[in-house]
Amino acid sequence: MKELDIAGVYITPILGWAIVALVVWTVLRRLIDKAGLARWIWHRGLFDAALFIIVLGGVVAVAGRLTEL
Amino acid sequence: MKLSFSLGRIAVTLVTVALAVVVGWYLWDYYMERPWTRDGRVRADVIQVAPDVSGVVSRVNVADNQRVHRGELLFTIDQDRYQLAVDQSKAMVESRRAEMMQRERDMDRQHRLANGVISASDREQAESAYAIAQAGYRQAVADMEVANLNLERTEVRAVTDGYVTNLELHAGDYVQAGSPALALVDITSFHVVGYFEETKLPRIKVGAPVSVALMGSGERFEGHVHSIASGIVDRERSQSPDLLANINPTFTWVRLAQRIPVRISLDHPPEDWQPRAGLTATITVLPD
Repeated sequence: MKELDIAGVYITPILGWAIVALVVWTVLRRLIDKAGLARWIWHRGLFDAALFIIVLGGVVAVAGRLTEL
Repeated sequence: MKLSFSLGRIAVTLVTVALAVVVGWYLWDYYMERPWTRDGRVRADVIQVAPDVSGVVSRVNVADNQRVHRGELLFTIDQDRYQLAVDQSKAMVESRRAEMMQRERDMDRQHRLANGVISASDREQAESAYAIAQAGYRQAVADMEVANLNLERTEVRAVTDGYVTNLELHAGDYVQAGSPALALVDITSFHVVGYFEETKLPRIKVGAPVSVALMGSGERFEGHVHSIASGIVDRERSQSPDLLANINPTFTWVRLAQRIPVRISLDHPPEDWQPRAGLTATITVLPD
């Protein structure tokens, strides 16, 4: 775990990873809409919230692996 | 067909939510429970060098931030007064020695006289006068050694390898015996201390491997948990003038975890790394 340096302000890493996850999440949602997969989803809001947490977990896992190497 | 489709829709959403719960649990564990802290500090023993004798500083032999070796001269206190004290004590030794020899000769003379000629009392007096003179001589010798020691101590030397830091001592300053005049950072004592929340302590074991990252520099060091502090101050309690316990009123809903210093020793810091006491470090205790 290593903190993020934004112009001299050191913030906890999860904030940065959350922003990265937000971007990935937005792209994923667009893809789901485009591919017409939306009709397979029961509660869109619930699904999107769950998807964000999963993406965030993935980003943190990958980033953690990368920074610890 | 219609039913299985809507069941499938529900299943896809619920599976995603279940997965999110698991991932969320893992994230919480990773960030909130894992023993890591952004509040680590590089620390070192700072020796407050104080002169053993008082006097005017005649010369400062080191520059600010200079690396010094054990035994190296740091500063010198004006020696004139202490040199004079040595001369004085030497003169006293000579005088006492002369007196002692005189008393010895007197005693020998008394001893040579026949028994009837001199009273036992006179003889004893001569013997005791010699013993007193002998003791006076030894005292003068000890005084001379003290004066020599004081003269020696006007040269203040480094007790260990280290760095002179924040040098505020100048030639002409008057320094008091025993009051710190110069800070010396012990080069062998650099270590890292992490302030861990008490909730994370159960997961920290002495000897566990640790990763230390310094703020800004991106350098990473390996280390291990050296020890965990066995006590911190009880902030809920203060001393009252009438000797009764003074406990803070409780705030039941929110309680803040206190933090315990955990000492970390670095395993193989790079040779060219210049440690500085006070640097901020992020410390992660790795799983075994």
